[in-house]
Amino acid sequence: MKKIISLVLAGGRVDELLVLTAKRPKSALPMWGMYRIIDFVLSNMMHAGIEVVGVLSQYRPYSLVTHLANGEPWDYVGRSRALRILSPFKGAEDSDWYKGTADALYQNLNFIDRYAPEMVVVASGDHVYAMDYRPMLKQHLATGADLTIAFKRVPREQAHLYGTAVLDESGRVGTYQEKAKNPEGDLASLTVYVFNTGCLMERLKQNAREGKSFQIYSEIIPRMIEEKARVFGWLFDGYWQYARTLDAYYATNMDILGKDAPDLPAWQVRTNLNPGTMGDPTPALFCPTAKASSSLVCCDLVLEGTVEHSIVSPGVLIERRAVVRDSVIMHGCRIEEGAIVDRAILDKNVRVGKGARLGCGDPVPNRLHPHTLSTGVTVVGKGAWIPAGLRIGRSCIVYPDMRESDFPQAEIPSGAVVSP
Amino acid sequence: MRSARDALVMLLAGGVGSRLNILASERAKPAVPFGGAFRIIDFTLSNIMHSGLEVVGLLTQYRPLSLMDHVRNGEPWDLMGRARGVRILPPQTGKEDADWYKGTADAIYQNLAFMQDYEPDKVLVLSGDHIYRMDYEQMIAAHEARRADVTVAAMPVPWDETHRFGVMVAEDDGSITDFQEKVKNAKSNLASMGVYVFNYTVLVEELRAVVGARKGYDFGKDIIPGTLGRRKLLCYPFTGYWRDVGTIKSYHEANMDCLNPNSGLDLQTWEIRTAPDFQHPADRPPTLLGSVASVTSSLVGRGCVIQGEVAQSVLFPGVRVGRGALVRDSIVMQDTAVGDGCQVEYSIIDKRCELGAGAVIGTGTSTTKNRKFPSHLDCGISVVGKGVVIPGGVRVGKNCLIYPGVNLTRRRLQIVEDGETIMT
Repeated sequence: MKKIISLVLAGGRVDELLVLTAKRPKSALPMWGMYRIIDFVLSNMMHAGIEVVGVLSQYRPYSLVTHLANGEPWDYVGRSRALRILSPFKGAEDSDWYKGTADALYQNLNFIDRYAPEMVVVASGDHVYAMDYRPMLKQHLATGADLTIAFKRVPREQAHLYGTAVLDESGRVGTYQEKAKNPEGDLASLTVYVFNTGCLMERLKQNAREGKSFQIYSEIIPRMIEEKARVFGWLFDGYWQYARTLDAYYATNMDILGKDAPDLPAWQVRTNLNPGTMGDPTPALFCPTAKASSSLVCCDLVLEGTVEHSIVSPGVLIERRAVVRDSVIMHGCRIEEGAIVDRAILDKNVRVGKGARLGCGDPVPNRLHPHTLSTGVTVVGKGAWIPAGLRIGRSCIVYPDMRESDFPQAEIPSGAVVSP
Repeated sequence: MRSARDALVMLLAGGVGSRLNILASERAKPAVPFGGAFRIIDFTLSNIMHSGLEVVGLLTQYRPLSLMDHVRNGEPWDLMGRARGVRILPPQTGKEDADWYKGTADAIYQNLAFMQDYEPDKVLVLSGDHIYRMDYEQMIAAHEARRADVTVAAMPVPWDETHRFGVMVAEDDGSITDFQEKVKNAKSNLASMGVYVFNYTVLVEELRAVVGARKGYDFGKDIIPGTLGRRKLLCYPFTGYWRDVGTIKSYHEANMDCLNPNSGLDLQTWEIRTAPDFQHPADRPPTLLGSVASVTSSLVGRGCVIQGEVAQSVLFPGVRVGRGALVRDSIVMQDTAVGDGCQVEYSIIDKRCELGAGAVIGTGTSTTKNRKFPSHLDCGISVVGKGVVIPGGVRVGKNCLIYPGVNLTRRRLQIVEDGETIMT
């Protein structure tokens, strides 16, 4: 096998995720109970036999760094295997905060150099998918491409959200448009690129000299196509989600409970199971009064109440007569007696006081952030305490670490934002 | 924290567990799975960790493979570092007295050289067979405060069970005046838990005098009674939850105790650590509960898929329970599949079994004891060994025993009668 390394772009916040990415990059956001989003790409890399991974981190990397540890959960420990975190650094002259994806790679040219690979797989750490990169690498070699981009066909009406391409009969990219209003093609880029190393190095240096946005997708790819470089497309038709808005993050979580749910065991996802990061091995305890159906639950759950159609992360306590419905409950949350949580996302360590109610009334878009939250999901930030008896409407946002005195009224209307 | 120089741990984990029958036929008793995620030895190893002890000599003998796989380098219990570690001490040849370990004291005696390396002040002798949560630090502190030579942890047991234990008679100040090992009509119901603190020099002298002279090989039978009147023996009373899960019945009961924190066995607060199961290419996903699932009074491990009903049961990771199936009062181990419409009651199903649709196990009211092992299986529990295949529609009665690897499809049996044993 040819020598391949991979660079995973995991430093972005994704502002639309608001309170969920207040303290972590999107790649470190929990998904499907016990995973973090970066687990998907790292498991893909591991299963493809790619032995060196550099993870580019920038925005609030603490939870990401803790989670990645020494790479051991993905088997990146050994003489020839490595998982390295590539954070921004200060240098003699050429270093700075990463200005974009291309700049982040450019600042780590020496990392690529050190391993002298023939190909570099560049992938986003923000996406939920299981992909075998090997057929794509094979095609890349067979076509003699400089760059191969993975695409997936999307419904026409959604194509404007993505970088889209039109391929010719040979699979070569004819046109590529970044988030165009009326794109020509319906093949969306999945932010999985295979570059020949020489081509990548040269393009990164060129971009560093002449670039404006320092992004791979908006500068390097369009320019390569313009200059008739050999850019090919590789088609993927499996499950792939981008989860860029709060509504989409919620929907992606719920996909695992849906009719066409991805086959999670077949995905063979690995995560860091060390206590204190993502999991604790104590099995879930279902008490005599427990009721649970159509849900995904994890270890260290104590269930006295009811859970329906929800995703529950490790370490959650749901007390007597409490009901959790259509919700995503992250690690260490505590839902006290008689509380009702309906269609909500609770970030880690949220406490819902006795008899409080989340998700009352009609779904209206959030007043301040309708572009990301309009389907009635209420989102509570990390460590917030919802006072006993409080009623909170739909599409509300509660900021992290809120305490009783931070809630102005006895009722928070739908669409409201509770912030300090 | 206590360094190895201060207090060295010798953990006896070679036990055969014969009364656990097929549950312990291919693994040492300390390696028998327990509580939906653990193995029995996890309780002792976690106690060691929480007590701040740093070096453990692990004495193995009987089928140690699962055990060694599990303990590995001790890292799951934080027993890894410059001054911390677990050393596996198997039986060895090459020395004059070397042989298979003939008893608990013999195992320690044959590893005097290991202890010598550390020149510890005290040695804590433990067994890996028990389910309990105990702070050994308090016991060692009591041993020091009273300037004892030997301290024996003890707890009261029901009088009708005293014949299963070593029992001691202690005065009000804790001094032990008499000790009886597994006798009828015991003088006391204060049972030894197999947890001892020895002054190192006393331990070495006693082992040389007794085991070295080939007079005896066991702590409970030989060493402790032999020190009566000569050494300062202290009883350290313990009143928490402690079970010797040496029988099928006690093993089942202790597992059921996990379902009810009021039993004293509270996994949610005991902070038991275990080694994750790394035999799979992926980590086990969360547990999926189907639309008509019902789970009550149960412990459920990672990666289960439950479509049916589970009540008063312990499910280890990766168990599948099909539609319309019922699992009640049972223990089901890793990756066993309970088919649609199955009924499993009051049974222990080991790892990787396949129960075809509509199979029924352990139902009814029969009190027929197992004919082959009447003393092992007499309380109604049926035990199905590792990897057994039971085809759809087959009925297995109560007090039945099906040996590991048996495939009933080939046997063309429709019914396994109450008390039957199927060995091949």
